[in-house]
Amino acid sequence: MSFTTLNFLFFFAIVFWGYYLIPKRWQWIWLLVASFVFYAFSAWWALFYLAGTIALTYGGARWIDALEGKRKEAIKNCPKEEKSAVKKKFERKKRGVLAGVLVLLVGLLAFVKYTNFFLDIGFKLMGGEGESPALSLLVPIGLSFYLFQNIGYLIDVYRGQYEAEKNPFRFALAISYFPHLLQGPLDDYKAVSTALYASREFDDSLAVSGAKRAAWGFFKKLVIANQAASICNPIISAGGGYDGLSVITCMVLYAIELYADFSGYMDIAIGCSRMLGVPIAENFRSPYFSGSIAEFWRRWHITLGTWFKNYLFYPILRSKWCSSIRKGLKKHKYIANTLPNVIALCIVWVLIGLWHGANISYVLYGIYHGGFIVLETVFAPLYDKFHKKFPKVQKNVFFRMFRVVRTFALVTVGYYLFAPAAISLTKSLILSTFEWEWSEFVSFGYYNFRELLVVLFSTAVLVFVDAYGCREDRLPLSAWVAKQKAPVRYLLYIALIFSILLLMVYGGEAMFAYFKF
Amino acid sequence: MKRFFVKSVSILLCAFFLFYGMTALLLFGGPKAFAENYQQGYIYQYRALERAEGEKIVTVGGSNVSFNVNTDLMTSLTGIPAYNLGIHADMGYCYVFEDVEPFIGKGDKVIFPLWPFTKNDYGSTLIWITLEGQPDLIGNFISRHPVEALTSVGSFSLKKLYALTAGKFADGLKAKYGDETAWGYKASSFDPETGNMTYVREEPVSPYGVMLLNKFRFTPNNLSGWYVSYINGFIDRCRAKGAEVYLTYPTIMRESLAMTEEEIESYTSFAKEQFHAEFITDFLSVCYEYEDYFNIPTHLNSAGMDKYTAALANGLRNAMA
Repeated sequence: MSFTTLNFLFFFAIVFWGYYLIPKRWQWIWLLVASFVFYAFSAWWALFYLAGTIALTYGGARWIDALEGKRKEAIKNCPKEEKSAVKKKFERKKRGVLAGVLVLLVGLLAFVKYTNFFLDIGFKLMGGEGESPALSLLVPIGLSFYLFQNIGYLIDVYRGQYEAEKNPFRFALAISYFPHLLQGPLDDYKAVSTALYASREFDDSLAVSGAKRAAWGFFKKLVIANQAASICNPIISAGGGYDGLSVITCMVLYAIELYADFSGYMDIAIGCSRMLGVPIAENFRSPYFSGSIAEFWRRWHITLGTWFKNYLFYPILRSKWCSSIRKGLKKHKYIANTLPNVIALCIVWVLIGLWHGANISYVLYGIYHGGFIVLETVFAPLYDKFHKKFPKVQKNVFFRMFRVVRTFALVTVGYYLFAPAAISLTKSLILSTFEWEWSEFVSFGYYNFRELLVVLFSTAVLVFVDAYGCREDRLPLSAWVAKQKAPVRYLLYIALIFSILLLMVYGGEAMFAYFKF
Repeated sequence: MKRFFVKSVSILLCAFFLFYGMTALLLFGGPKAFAENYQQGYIYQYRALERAEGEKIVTVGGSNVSFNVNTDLMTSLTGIPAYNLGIHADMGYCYVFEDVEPFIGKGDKVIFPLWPFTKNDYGSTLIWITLEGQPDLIGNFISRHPVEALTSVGSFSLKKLYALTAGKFADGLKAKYGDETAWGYKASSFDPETGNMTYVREEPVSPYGVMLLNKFRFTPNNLSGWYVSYINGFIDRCRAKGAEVYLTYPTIMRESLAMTEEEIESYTSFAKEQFHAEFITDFLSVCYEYEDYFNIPTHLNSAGMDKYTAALANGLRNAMA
């Protein structure tokens, strides 16, 4: 079920009122049932994937926990000289269980999502011509999101960060909780589960603030993202055939569309969850105001970045392999510190690219962004020297603006790979970019004049809201609104709903861009 | 909780009241923004069907009906009054089928140039533009698809507000840099009495190379289970009323077909197996050369239109014989 459907509005109204009207001890069960119903709306068969992966992770985590208990017991009762051997034995067993479950989870993701990709590569490498063989596999919506939640939880239990959840249904709720099920955020298990299992009284301020946040999310998705999509999607899917200025405009619009789409989804998810009294993680922090690509990724899809950092980047850095590099290059301190970072970054960014989809374009997209981050890592000492020498430059408004515009331009160029998700289309879009024809651009302008006006107006509102909330010395705009007198507040709410109704492109079951990942 | 409920419902009601009130005003009152629009052709066709009495031929579809079927010629070749309903594929085939069905009666012949579409096929924005100032048709649409209608009507309000204000600026640019209304995309291209496209199109306006940019390929996969059952359902319902549905293929510029002869054979034989109605033309027999087309490879010029109409009339006569 997509958030931007009437079905969802009815569904959420029932869940919301039901949640506060039923006895408190049933609240978490109510949410669990609601989450499964929500997921069943996407496709009933997808429930098997969800339930299967939850059962597998739950079993694995409980097993690891049991082994940990046995280890403690065995160490307590064994002679001192055997303690190390016992510890190692149980550690091996735990690692075996972890590896086994991870292989199954990652294997499932790889099989469902990447089989055809690798079949295609294999077919072409073997000199095959024409259409590659392909399996017709059913890929459930949100699979990679909830698999990542499962994997994160399992690794945390293995690391002893918390005990495995004993109640399988409570665990199932933390994974399947509908606001974060399909597109994240990839929540921290401990934080979200604690909030989910608590009994709640209705809180008027949370409900109001959640409803505002959700309404803002609807505006972003239905108005900004969908209007921008109506202009740029035909050009992207045609892969050019338009003049350069139109293509550049289209790519900038795509950048706006993607941000409004994904962050709009997050706003709806966070808003709805807040109405239920459950805080979930923020996933965006005005990413297009970033001064560098690395900063961009600290502000864009934050929880995915954190996930990769916690469960891949740091483990690689801490691996024996990287340690041996550091030891081997002891004499060259800079290289010894930088090289393991670069290796870890390269692996992580190829995988982030691949995570987006089984497509070489996404891999290249990951490499593109990873490349800039590697460059930033490699040249970090130079930047530091420069800024120490010219400390005023960094604080200069124009320099800051230059960095923001440059980063936005680099991110937008990256969308040439990301948006069409096909190398042939990327190629023709790039070629079209350099063919400028003023009259064609004007005709593109007047054919899309109305949509452009709407996008321009609504993006201006978006930029204002983001810029306002960006300043650390200021409260977000929603807090400012909350302080206003009732008539002003109500007028603003009515204006927001009115604008959504007037300016939206309602696509029924129109998918959010990140559903496919 | 009660306070929150009352507050939120009141705010929603205020916003809805304001919005739908303004929309109703724009739909029924004020200066008409789309009276000269190409979509007006649909209203001419619909009203002509409404007035029709006795046995008739009705061709349904998208713009390939308006641009390609000359109802005057069809009437004179078959001796049966002919009508079109369809001016733009983006209005949605489902909508057109739903509109035509109440007018089908005993002895009628319905022709459909087989064009695949999906079950979400409702081009609400175009539908609303078409329905400006047509209370009965607005009522029909809302009663048939309340969700579709109420969630999409905002786009109409926006379009009308735009057309009456900033749209005039874009129209100025259009006039300066090229005007598509010169290609027949205007209300005056249609005969208001019959809805027949009378706009004279003498020769192709798009260069051959531009026409070739559009490629068409149909495969049995285009004829999904839902689509086949939808069309068959329509055929069966018409038959139950004593009418007959005939299928044909849309005309497509031959060089724009991205299909081998084997693929055409496989597609057409699959189509013949699937539907409960007879095909009155062969696939390739209605695919002509560049000279017969107008602006895109599925829109004929006036000479091409007469050729296609004659082919349909001939096919229909053979089928009826």
